[in-house]
Amino acid sequence: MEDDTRTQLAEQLKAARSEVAHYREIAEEVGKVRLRETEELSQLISELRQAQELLKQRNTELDSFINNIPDMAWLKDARSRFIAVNRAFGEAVGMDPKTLVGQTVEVCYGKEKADAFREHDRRVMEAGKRVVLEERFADSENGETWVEAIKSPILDDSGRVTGTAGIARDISHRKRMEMALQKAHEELEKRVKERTAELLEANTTLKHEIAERKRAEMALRKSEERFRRLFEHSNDAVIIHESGKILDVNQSTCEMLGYSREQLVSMSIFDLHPEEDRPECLGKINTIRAGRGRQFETQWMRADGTMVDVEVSSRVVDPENGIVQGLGRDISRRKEIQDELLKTKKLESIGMLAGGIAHDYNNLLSIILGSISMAREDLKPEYGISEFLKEAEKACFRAKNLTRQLVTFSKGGAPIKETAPVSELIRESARHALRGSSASLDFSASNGAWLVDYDKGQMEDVITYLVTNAHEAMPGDGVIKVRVENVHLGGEHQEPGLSFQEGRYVRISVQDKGVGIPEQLLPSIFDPYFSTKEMGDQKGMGLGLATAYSIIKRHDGHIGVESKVGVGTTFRVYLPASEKGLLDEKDGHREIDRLPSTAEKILVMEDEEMLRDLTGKMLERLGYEVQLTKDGGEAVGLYKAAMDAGVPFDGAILDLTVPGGMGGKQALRKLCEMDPKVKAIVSSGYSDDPVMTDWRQHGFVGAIVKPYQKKDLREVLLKAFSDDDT
Amino acid sequence: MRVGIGYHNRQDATWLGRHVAEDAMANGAIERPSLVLAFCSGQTDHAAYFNALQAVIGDDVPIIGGSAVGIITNHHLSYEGDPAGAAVIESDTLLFRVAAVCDLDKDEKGAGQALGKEISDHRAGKLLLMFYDSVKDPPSASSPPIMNASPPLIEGIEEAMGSEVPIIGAGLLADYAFSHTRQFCGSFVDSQCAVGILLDGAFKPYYRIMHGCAPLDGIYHTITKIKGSVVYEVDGLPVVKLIDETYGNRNWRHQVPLRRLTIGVNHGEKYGPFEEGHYVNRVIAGSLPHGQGIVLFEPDLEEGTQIVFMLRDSAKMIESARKNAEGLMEEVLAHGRRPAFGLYIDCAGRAAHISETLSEEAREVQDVFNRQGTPLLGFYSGVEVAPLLGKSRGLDWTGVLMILAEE
Repeated sequence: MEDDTRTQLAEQLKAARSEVAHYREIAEEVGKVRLRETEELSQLISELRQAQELLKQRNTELDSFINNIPDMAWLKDARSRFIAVNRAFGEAVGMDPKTLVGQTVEVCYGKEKADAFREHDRRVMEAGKRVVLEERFADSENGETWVEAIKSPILDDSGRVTGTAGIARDISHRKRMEMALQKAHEELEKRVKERTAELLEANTTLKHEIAERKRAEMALRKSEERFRRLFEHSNDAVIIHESGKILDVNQSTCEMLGYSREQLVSMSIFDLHPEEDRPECLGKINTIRAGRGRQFETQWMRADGTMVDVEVSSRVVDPENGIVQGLGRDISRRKEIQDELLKTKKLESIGMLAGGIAHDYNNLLSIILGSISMAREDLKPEYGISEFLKEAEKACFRAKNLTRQLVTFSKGGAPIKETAPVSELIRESARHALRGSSASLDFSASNGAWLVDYDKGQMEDVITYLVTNAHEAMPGDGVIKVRVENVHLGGEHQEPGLSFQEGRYVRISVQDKGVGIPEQLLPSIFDPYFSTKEMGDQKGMGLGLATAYSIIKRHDGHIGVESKVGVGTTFRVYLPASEKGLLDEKDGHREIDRLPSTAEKILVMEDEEMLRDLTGKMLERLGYEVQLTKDGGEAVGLYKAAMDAGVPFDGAILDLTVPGGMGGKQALRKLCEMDPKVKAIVSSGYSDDPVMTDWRQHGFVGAIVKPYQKKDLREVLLKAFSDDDT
Repeated sequence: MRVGIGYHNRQDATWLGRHVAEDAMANGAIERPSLVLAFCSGQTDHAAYFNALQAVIGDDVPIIGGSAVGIITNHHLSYEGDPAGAAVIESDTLLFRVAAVCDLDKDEKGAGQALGKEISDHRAGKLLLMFYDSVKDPPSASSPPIMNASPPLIEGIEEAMGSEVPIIGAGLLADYAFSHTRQFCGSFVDSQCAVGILLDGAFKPYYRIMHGCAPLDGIYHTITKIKGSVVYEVDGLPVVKLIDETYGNRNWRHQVPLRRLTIGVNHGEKYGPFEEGHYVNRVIAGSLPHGQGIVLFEPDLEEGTQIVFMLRDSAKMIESARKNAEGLMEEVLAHGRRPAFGLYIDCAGRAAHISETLSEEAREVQDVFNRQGTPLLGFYSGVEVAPLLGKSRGLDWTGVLMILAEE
């Protein structure tokens, strides 16, 4: 039993093991199959991944392509629903392309258009062929829009139509161009017809015009003749030239330059300029030829070698051939006037400076001079110092003269004129200037010399400067000729280098036979501080001739010079003759030498304390009763008080300028209100002030220029008070 | 807890570090960063990347992580080019201790002990995050790559700090060529290191393991000759010959690692219904040049161990990723907690181009996290570490998904 059981169990075990082995084999086989299938599946997946990658890449490329083309593009299924649309399409309809997928075109353009498009799609699918369509859209913003659409069927691998593909572009611009072209074409046709008619008419008109032109040509020829005459008779020089080569000139050119026409047309413009000016001349010609006509000043050389100042206006008259017309106007006279003006300005600018300090300076000189003269009077001869005071006094006079010279340059320095003959004053001044020298004076004056309105002091200065200058130009002995003559000038009667208004003049000439003045220095000799002499003291300061020039100008006169080196120099002064006519020279001077007939009572108003006191002392010595005051306000008060007290002043000396206080002019106005017969003398260092030059017009009875001496006071007072008597 | 995620893909490591950090700070509205988890491609200049991160975040904020085959975030997934990513965490309630030990290639267990001691000396914790250099020696003409073994490392850690604290982490892999890797060790960068961070505080860690292999034929084999990680014989027969027969050819011998077959050890009922969570998988890194044996990723098997050949199943892998990600998120929410941050440690072999799938399994994880709006950082690793069957283990061919959830 046990054996049987064991046997059965062994068989069962064997069978079970066999079954397990069998199942294991199956399991192993299943495992291998699974592994193989997995391997195969992986292989497939790997290939699929590669295909997906490729597809993805293709899709990316396609998307990139389709989205970057500017035209609208789309794909539709068989029911005209969008499968895909590109960016341009989305932008055109204002919708996101993704939202259009699955939709029909109705969402973009409405039902009516959508139905039409669906019909197009249907036709394309039925025909299986591409069609090209043009569609018009009405756009409220842009007006009319035209689109060209190309629709093609989409076929699957079996050739079955599954949908449509389309591409469309905006052809509005092209359509507009086509329409515009058509319109232009029609317009052109119309214009051609019109033009043909016009030409026929014009042909007729042309015949008339030809006849008219012939008449016009005739008129032109006459006009040319007129212009030729104008050219020939122009007062200005007219030169026609080509690149400098003279082609033609008018008569004025010949007269101005001293050449004949034949000579000039064989010359060039450059021949009219000194060698050194020719490059500049060429530059100007080039500028003119470049089309920039211009006006400039230059100098032309005459046939005799002298130069003439001209103002040239040039312009190109024939640009094609480079022909230039130049008009030359003689401006020598204008240049002289300009030079004169410039010289005057120079003097005025220096005078401005001098005038500024003259007031204070003259006050100081008045004090010094007055004090010296008083000291000399009081000095006993035995003290032996009188000579020193005399020298000091002389120095003061020279300082005074220097101030006067400087002030003369200013716009002030106006002469205090008297109408008188000049001969005697000139002779005396010349004699005085040559006193103590070895030179002799040869003086002559024409009989019946005209009167002149002039400032004696200034005119003395002029003669002194000119005679001194002549003497210094002659080394050693010599004769200086001084002449006084009446001349008529102006108009055709002119003197070289001077510009005169027509009228009567008294000419004063001072001639020496000295070293002469080089020609190149002549234009500068009237400039301040110009001198050929050594500097120092008064001699050689270069103010003499400048001062003379200034004085003569202020007398509305002229001064000129003629000189030749080694031969001598002649200065000529021209003074306008007075309108007051002739006067016997013997009556020309009125001696004022009498003392005050009574002891007049004088009020002195002077802001400078020392001068005030000194003036008071000088007047007292002259026998006047004096009261002093420092400004106009006080003076008016004192004058009124004296009147009220019944002991009025006989006269007043009023300082013109009182810094910070009432000056003489205003004070006189106040005094006149109290006493219309008041006699007032104005005093000032500003000899150029209008009140000083025209004191009578301003209500004064006399004027005294600072610095002054006792004798000056005496003279002015006597004259002022005697005027009333005469 | 606030978490910001940054990601960029560029060769310039300094640019990469700065922009990853700036994006993370901005995305998470981070004002005072507490901790950074950062990973980058093996070919990126790790030191430059690390320094650039520090320059933005601050050099007093610990940065842990290191090399990765690829990077996963909520919206990016890449293992091509030079991807890099980081999670910047700001929390006043998160307590942590960072430690790192090196010379892993000399003694894994000793390194584990040192790491465990360094961390556990200071505080208790709810979770140990640990990343280590998985490559002891890169492959050569005479040998497949030799890996640093996770079992002795984990054993060493647990010896020092006990096994109560779950260990989640990874053996880092720089690339598919098994090149050397580098680790971000808190404040420095080095190789052959294990860096750990013990986390504690007002959070709860949730985790799941994604599988994807099933037994090839259900036949158990017994290892009869093994030395370290090299298996020579099973059932008394050369294992290489057995695999030759299974494939029906020798082509598999050129694969490093093997693409289809792995070695599985069933810790569940031997002939019970298949449960993926009961199997520990070991990737076959390759065969020895002359067919003497096969090299496993881990040297933790021994003679007498019963194994089954496992077949990688891509469909199961994707399904597992989706099912476990959804399940884990549902679990967190069911507990009334807020999922603050997710970390996905994904085996590099599960990437689509290696596992030859049409889609990335990690997409399933991204979808779940994006639906919930939870910040996610993940990376492709060599070995995944997570508790399985009550014990923290080194795993192959898995994905370990972890969520830090707040009350």
